[in-house]
Amino acid sequence: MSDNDTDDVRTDGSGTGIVSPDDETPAWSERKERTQGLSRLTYEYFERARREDQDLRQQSDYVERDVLAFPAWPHEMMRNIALTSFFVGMILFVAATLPPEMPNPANSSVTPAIILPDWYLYWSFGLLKLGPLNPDLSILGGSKLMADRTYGVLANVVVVGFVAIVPFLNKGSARRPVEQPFWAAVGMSGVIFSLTIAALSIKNLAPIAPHLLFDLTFLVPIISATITYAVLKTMREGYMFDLNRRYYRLRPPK
Amino acid sequence: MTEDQSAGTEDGSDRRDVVVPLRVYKAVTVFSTLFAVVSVVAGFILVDVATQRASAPASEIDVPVGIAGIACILAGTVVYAFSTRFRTEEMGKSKDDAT
Amino acid sequence: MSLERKDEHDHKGWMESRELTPVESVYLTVLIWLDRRLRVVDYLEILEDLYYKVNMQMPKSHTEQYNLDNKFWYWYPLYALGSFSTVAYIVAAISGALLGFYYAPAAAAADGSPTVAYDSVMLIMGQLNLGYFLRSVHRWAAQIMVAAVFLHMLRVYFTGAYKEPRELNWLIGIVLISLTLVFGYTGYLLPWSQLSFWAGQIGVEMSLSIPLIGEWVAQLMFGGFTLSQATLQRMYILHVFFLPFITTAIIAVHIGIVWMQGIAEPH
Repeated sequence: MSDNDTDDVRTDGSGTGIVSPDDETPAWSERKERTQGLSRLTYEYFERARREDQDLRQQSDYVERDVLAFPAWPHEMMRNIALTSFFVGMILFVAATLPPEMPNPANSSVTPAIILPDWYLYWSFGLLKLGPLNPDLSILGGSKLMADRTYGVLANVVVVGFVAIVPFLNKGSARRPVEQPFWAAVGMSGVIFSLTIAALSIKNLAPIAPHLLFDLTFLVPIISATITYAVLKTMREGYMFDLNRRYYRLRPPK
Repeated sequence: MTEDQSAGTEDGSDRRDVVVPLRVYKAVTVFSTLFAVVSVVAGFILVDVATQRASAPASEIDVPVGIAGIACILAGTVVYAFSTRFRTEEMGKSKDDAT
Repeated sequence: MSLERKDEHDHKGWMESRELTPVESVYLTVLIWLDRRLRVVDYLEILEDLYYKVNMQMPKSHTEQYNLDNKFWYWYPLYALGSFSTVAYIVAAISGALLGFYYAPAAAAADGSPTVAYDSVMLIMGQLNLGYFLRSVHRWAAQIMVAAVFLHMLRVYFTGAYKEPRELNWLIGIVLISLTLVFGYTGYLLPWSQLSFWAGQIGVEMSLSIPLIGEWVAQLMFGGFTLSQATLQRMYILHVFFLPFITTAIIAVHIGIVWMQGIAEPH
């Protein structure tokens, strides 16, 4: 691979700003040099359209909007519209193939075997079943400070509150999980916990002994966080090497 | 792929390659695909009709219509397969396009 | 296309200059004959031209800008989850408005006999043309919206998109996910079936166990400490009046902030 295209790279934001991620990926100028058959035909189409596009922009009073980051419109939305229209089709398809059932009318004298909300509230419902964790204070003679139910509701508040303050705990400009293995591990344990606590909420249905399930609810997230942390720490070296290489290709050391 | 390749060149493999002008290549691709799609779909419809959507007992299968359907499917396949031997200038074989 | 007739290729002469088998020459002759008459290729060429032009003029998405296509192509749909939840919300709103023409939140008893509310849902599902499908669409749109919102939150978390200066939008997002869950919960109660009734029972008990303001919340949201007509009425008004206005407004703010700040760039 030739390195002569690095001379064209401009760091003042006026160029495309695109740098090949590694030496194996051909640069645009290298792709350009495909001279045969359909690839040449394609390239000619591209070039002509690009030139026409550029002419149009120079003639018109088109102004690039200045934003902090990547423009949502139209850059992202163009693709999103295509994807979401597919998703809507998926909703209609699923709705047509799996229609909902209608249970019996409400009856307060018949308690169903399993009382459950919809699946997306299982995590909240599971938090209501954390009674065994409610500390009993010896100062109060072994009685609990608050009822188990109150404790469960407070657990909901704590979980949502923790999620809410994440941006104020984790600052800086790191974006990818590999750059911050710790926070990725926290997130992973949160995801797993939302699943295990949901499993705890349906413990009458789960084919595991309730006590074991209760312990697993807290163990599995910790284990998965540890694994995530270890894996990302290992990957980090390679990623940092790659990022550094890209960085130095953009801004070659003097 | 070299420039001087002419019709009927057999390079290495026993697959026959016919180089045609771009316009003809497009016509071949479009119409053979169109014909293949239509006849394969029609063939499946015929087979469906003959076997009553694969639910008829063996004695009630409409044999001529069924055979016509299978023939339709085969015809579509053959037409499509035949079209793959035509290439346009400077176009590599689809397998080793990079060379 | 210009009206001027293009210079046609001399197919006959060309074919004679090549060594073609009889099958090949018949094949080509038939296809060229068809092409001369139907001109399908011309129209396809227009489309091809259009495709390349549109593709080149389309602005780059962030994955292209940062050359993430090679490795991260499969992740792109995760970046569409925000739009996807919005679209699912719109689908649910439309189907819900249509369902609202036929649903009546009335006569909520709990003695095991069908109530007016239950019967109106049964009517939608049994008698109304496309009613079953409509209810199915509404329900699935709601379920999928919840899933999409949750995955959207995970995407934002794991790509670090909540960081400065987007903390406010993260908080608004948490409000929105909670509103989505409340939306789902109030909707779950409306058919007034066994599941609805007992889910409502849990709700009343949960709000009663909130310290200090529990009884007040139960009164406000459920219209009392036991489930009754007042509960159904309040759930209905929450579901079709308060929540839609509040949620739509907050979604507008949420999207507006994304619009102004732009998509968080992967560094």
